[in-house]
This record gives sequence, C-alpha cells and structure tokens, in this order.
Amino acid sequence: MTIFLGSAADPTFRYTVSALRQRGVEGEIADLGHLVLAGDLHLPLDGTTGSLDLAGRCHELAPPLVARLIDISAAAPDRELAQRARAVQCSLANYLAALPWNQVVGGIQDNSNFSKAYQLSLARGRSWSIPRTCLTNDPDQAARFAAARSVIYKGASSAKTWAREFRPEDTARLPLLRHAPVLFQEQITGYDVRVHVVGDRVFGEAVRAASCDYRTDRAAAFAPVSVPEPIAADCVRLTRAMRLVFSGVDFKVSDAGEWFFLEANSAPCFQGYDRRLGGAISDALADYLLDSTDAAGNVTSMLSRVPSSAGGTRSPR
Amino acid sequence: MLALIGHDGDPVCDALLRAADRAGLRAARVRDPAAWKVTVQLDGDGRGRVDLRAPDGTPVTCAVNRSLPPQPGLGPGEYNDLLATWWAALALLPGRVVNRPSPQGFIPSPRLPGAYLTTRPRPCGTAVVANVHDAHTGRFLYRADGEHPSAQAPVLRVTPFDPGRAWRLMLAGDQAVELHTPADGLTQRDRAAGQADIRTFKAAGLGLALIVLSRAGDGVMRTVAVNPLPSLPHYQDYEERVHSALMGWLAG
Repeated sequence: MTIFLGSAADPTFRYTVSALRQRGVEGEIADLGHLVLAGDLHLPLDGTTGSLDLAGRCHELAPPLVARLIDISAAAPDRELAQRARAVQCSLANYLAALPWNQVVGGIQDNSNFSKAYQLSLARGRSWSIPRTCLTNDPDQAARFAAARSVIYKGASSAKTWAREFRPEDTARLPLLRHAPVLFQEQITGYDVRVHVVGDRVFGEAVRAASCDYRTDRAAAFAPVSVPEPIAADCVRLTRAMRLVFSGVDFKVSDAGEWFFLEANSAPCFQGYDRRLGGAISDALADYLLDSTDAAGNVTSMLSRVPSSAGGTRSPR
Repeated sequence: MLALIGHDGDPVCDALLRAADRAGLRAARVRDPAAWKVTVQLDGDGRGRVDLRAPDGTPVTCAVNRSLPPQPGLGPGEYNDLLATWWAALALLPGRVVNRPSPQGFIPSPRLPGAYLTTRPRPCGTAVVANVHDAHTGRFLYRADGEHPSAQAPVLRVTPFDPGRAWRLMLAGDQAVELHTPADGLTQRDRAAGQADIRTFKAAGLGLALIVLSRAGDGVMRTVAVNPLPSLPHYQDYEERVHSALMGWLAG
C-alpha cells in the first residue's frame, strides 16, 4: 500500500494519483490541506515509521511513499493556519529526508533548485555545458555582462518567472536591480529539451518555439527526442546525487548540438509531457513503485529492480 | 571584511561585531541585504566567482550567516530572489563562512535521529527530560519534565535526553569549547565520538554551534542536539573565549 502525500488543490498531485491508480498502484491519499486543518502527526527522525491522524483515521507513513509537498500556506485564510501549513510541510519534508531516499518518490533532500545559480555550479563537470551566467543586483555588473553577448534574464529563485530576452531598451531598467537581483544568462540559440528521470530511465522531449520561453508560446512544437547516452547517464547521476527518484532536468540544445544544462527540478509538473508521451513517465513511476514491494508487501531495493520497458531510455549507471 | 548576517536585534551579531573590533577584523552588520552588492558569475564550465560588497564598496572576505533579515519592503518573490542570491554567494564565497549554505538549506541543519516531530507530545519517561523546539523555526520553547504544557507551536520537535549524561560543547571555528561535562565523566571513546561528530558538522558548514551529546542507553555518546544559531545565554560564561576563537578562524 502506497501513501500519496500532497494537496488535492495541486493538479500535478491529482494527475499523479490518478495515473498511478490506473496502473494498479494501490494507495491512500493524505491531503496536506486536511492535515493542516484537522490532522495530527507523529514523525520520528530515526528512519522508523511515523504516522498521521486524519479525522480519526491513522495512516502509517511507511514506504513506499509518493509525495508532493508544495507550499499551501499562501492559500491559508489566516496567519495561524499559514504558520501551521508551513510547519506541517517542513516537518513532513524532514521526516521524508530521514527515510531511505530511493523509497520516496517526491522526497526533497536537496533544495539547490531554490538558487538557480548555485545549482548550476553544482551541475558542472558533467557531459553538458553550463551557460555563462551573472546573478546580480549591481546594475553596472549586469550592463557589462549584457554588453558582451546576447542575454536572457529570469528570476534567481525557484519561484516561477518567465525567461525574457534582454533588449537594448532594458538597459534603462537596470537600476531596478537594486530592489531585487536578477539572473542573466548567455542566450543559447536552439531548442529546449526537458528530460524526466525515473530511477534509471530517462524520457526526453524537445520543444521548439519562436519565443524565448516556450511556456509562453502557444505554437510551441513538442516531440520526443533521443537523449545522447552521456547526457542521459549524467541526468540519472545528478538525480541520484540529489537523492531523488524522479526529476525534471531542463536543457537548451544549441544549433551546433551542444547541450546546456539549465536546471533540475525536484518536483516537476510532468503531466503535459506525460500525456504527449502516451503516459510513459507514469508507466515508469508505476513500474518503480510496483517493483518496490514483494508479495508480502515488504519494501525491496527499488533502483536495482526497475525493469526496462518501451518508452524510456534506460541509462547505464 | 567580515559580514555579520542576522536579524536586526540579534545580540550574537552585536557581540560578534564587538569581538571583531577587539580582534582588529573589519566587520559590518548586514541589516539591509538588498543594499549590499552581490554578484555571482559562472563561466562556461560552471566555475563560480563571487563579488560581495558592503554598501560602501568594501569587499567581503568572510561571513557569519545567522539567517537573512526579513525585508518588509519586498514582496515574497523579490525576497526569494534576494535569498537565492545570498545563498549562491555565501555557498561559493572563497573565504570562511559560518553556516555556509548547502544544497539542503540556507542554514546547515544536521539530521539527528534522536528527535521526533509531533503535534501532540507524549509525556516523557521518568528518567529523561525533553527539549522542545518549534519544528519550523527551530526556536527553543521549553524543557519538559513529565507533562508538556499546551502546544506553543503548530508542530514541535521533541528531543528526549538525560541532562545528567549530557556533554555540551560550543563549536567556534576549528575549536570546540567545552561548556559542560557529564556527571559520570568522559572516556576516550566518548571524546573520539564527539570529535568524529564535530568533524562531520564542520564539513556540513557549521562554524558557531551549540552541540549537545548524551550517553545513550547502550553507553555510546551520541549527538542529541545541534543548534547552528546559538544565543548568548547558551555560552555566557565562555563568550570571550568562543568569540576570540571564532575571529581567529574567520581571519585565517
């Protein structure tokens, strides 16, 4: 029995639960909002099993677990509930971090994605390239960086922002940096690729769009793409280094075919990619979870038992 | 320059500013992080270069990170961008940093198996007490000796331990200052266990931290609590020694 831990208000969580149930992954849902409003928790940090009490029903939080611990505090009607939401989310994250990482899909043991520039520095030394980047609140530094090359800019944190081209007229806005820093990056001309990693399987999708940020382009064209073996292997290694089972890694591939790492998402919104791939990512997640328990319901080593199946490249370790 | 990053009313930052002055180390409080110039550049192979400067242009060479002060004038998104920028800058700063950010968090938070998180704390056993912290903020709330008072935070982090068997240390740079030894003394094995844990905590980015070890039922000394944001009362009788050791390390 799997526990699905997340918010019913989160479309990705709803999609995940639905997709996994359709594929035979049995489980109970523990809703974060419900837990904040009317639940109790008892979570040891020694790797032993904790529990949640929801409306008088006790849920043992034993692996395997599927979690999406999004911040729901912004939707809380008052300050007290917002504090409780943050405390519950943080406590569950700490509990999950104490469990074996490969038995939690969606555990967050690595928050490096919060600081994109820092994560880029951690991703160096692999088969991909890193785009030249300048994160700054200094207008002079930004102006110097932008003068030397074509540049895009975006938010420094994991909060959702759109990437935009830096144009000459934006120079007049650089003094605004004093209020909040911005991440400037060399512009890579080419197409985007999102690589989803599930265990040691990778699923690539290329996105060709006219705009700088394909998420803003309704005419963007999506197509499955074969991820070069060294890149695929490094995606798996990076995901494992982040102590994740499931990740979404973003690349820009230049016109010359060079792969540039942009960021790795520890809680990817994968449903659109999954639908276009005919459910291959969900299949892999279900395989991973179903293969994680033996006939007696005991959790076994997951990563060593993920079977190969159509729809994903299996990467060598 | 030493950057002392912490909330406006943080007495530890104030005391460290005085200690830096005594040690002849130029230092400044970071009360308004948006006013400091922060630049992190990554070259084509991902190598990071940090340029962190005080509002007067003085370059920062080392830092004490006791959390980024809130910025009431910024919205949540802008504050996140500021935090993400300081996170990268302090993680990649070539000089010494107390509480260097890591992939796990802006403030290092070593995992300790002895505690549990709960919304409904259970009564302590008769042999031990429990230190109770706010699970989200890490703020110390009370020490429970038997029953717990009504909840003072949404989720509590409860750490049961036997105070008579506790060994309290202050990590100050590369030194560990002993604050309290257990009533039954310390063996060589205890000290070796303590040193091993301290090495782990230093590698995790800690530089000024209260560390509490306690002999468990099996006789082995284990760390039961680490506070990366200690307050002055935690080491009031050793303040000068701790701060002097820390300044020596930061300047080194």
